[in-house]
Amino acid sequence: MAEELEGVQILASRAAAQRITRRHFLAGSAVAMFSSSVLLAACGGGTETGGDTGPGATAGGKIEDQLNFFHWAEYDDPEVFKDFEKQFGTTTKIDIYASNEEAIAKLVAAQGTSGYDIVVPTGVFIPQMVQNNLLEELNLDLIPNFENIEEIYRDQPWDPGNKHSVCKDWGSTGWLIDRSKVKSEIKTWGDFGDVAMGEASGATSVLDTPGDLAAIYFWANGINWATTEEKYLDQAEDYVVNKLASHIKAYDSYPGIALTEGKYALSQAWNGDARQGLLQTKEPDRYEWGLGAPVTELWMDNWCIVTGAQHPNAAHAWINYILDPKVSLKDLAYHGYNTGIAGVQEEAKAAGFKFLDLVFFSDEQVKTMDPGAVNEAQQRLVDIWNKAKAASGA
Amino acid sequence: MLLFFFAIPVLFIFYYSLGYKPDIFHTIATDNLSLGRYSESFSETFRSVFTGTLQISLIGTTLCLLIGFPFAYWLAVRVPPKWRGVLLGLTIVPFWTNFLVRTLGWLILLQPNGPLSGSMQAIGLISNPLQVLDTRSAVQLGVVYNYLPLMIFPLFVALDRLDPALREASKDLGANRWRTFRQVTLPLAMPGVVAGLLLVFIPLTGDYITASVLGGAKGNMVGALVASQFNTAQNWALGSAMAVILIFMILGSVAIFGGLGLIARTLIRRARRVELVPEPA
Repeated sequence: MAEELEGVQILASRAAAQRITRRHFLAGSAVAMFSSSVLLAACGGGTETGGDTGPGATAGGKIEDQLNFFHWAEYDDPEVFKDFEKQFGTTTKIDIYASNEEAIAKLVAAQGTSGYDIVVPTGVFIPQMVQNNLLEELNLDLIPNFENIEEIYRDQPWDPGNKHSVCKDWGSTGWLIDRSKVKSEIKTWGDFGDVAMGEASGATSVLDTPGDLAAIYFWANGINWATTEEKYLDQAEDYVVNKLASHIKAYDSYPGIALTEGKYALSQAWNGDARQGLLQTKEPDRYEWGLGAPVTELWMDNWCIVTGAQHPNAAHAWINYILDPKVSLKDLAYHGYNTGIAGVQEEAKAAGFKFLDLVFFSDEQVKTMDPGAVNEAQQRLVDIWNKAKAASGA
Repeated sequence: MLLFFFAIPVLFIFYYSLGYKPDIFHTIATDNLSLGRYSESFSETFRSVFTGTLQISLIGTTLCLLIGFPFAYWLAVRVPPKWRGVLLGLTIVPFWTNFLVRTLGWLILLQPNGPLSGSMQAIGLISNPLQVLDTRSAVQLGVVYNYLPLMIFPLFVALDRLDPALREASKDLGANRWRTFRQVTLPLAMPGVVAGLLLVFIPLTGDYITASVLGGAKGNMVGALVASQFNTAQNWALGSAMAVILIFMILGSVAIFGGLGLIARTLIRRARRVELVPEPA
């Protein structure tokens, strides 16, 4: 088992914003063309049959023979889908999106006729999705495996009582250092910035999302990264645009492998992506991973059922299926993020998975993680991000 | 057809550019039309990114012309007719695969520990791993590669149509090769040159994929700025306004360069005008 799972070293992209690897970008772009047509077709079909099926909350009965996902690219082991299809006689179909914003825009436009059953938004986006009636209430009676999720990953601030969402997996943000190029110690986001502007100037990459860029300043200076205060946003802009930007080599959401291929000396990275780099390099000792401090990100992606889902029973069956500890472990081997299932850490250890300190974090570490929020500062963050890119390119 | 595929989408962009973003969950509202998005668009960021983009596309277009013209000439004039079809076919081979895949191919090739870097180090051309990725040079290389065929085709067509007898006549009248090229071939190929310049310059200015794949932070093009408003900020009104401005700025650039070209042509013609001496009465 261990050997078999270890063979699968393609860890999935996970995503809190715009997260496309080179590989996924391809898949995503190709699929995006199809998905818009599927969406249109689905809109047409949906209006015809819209009233026939009840909403997810009242589900409970025969499991439908079809299940449509609106999902991130390569985020689950294809084998898991196959096994599910075999067990339940349900065909699964996946459409891809590249960012939460994109997914939400499409769901809003479709107004319950998208034809999708399952969507996997990041936690902070859920409150407004619920407000805009994009998500069905879950019937937890149909998800007995919900009990397998560790207490701390239930009942999250964005969805008290898990009414609309269940944890899929979660991760955090830190940095990956090429020790053959950078000698300075990096303990905090402040150090990260200093080294990026010093020793690693011109060889540093940062995540290609507006939130994570400005957050380097917020996290370093003890400011809540969900802030909407003009004063703090101005300070972040000054730091990122006027100081940091000219030292940045690339805005790259998946720098892990590129760094171990010699492209960067220092990268801001998500844990799963950093681990992907370490897994593929022949000399992992040359690289050092550090979790962001004193504060860093916590993102959690969640299984949700789309309003107007035509296959609510199959959707519940899927969520229940994926929360099974064995299935969860198999999926974890593929995407490399903590699924929050009780005992999965021990199982992963026993199965001999490598670099588990990049998958599982201690309670002390988890305490320093902040999910942030999506709010009216978003446009300003995009402006800062664009200004920074203009400054880097000049 | 043209109306459906071209006019209507563009009109929608114009219409949307007058709208606004109502809240963080909706991308566009048009119940209260204004020009506010345009003043937001004309930021320092937009101007500086546009200037950088213009620089990349001007250099790229010029390089395409400098490389494309000799090749098209060779293909249309020197290559035996039976091989022309095959060679022209070969130049479109890259089009068999997706634009993005082609660009990613260069990404792999140019990596610091990629094949090109390795072989250059092996033969002693460079001592350290090649650091060309994430620079302007990589962007220039990528755009020339991606847009060169669009320059070659119209040039080939123009040169192919040129009757060889005209060049022979020029030679017979005592012109050397350079003069024949300057005064016969080039003026007659001008429609192809103009078509090639437009075909390369316009899409290149709007392209941002090549630049973002190969240029990293140095490959920030104005197209990416527009895309970020649609995809990341989900602010379609602002994105549309930027797109409209971009359309006019590209048209403006084309008009300016076109105007300069016309002036140059007029001057050259004036200088070369042959005064026919009137017959003595």
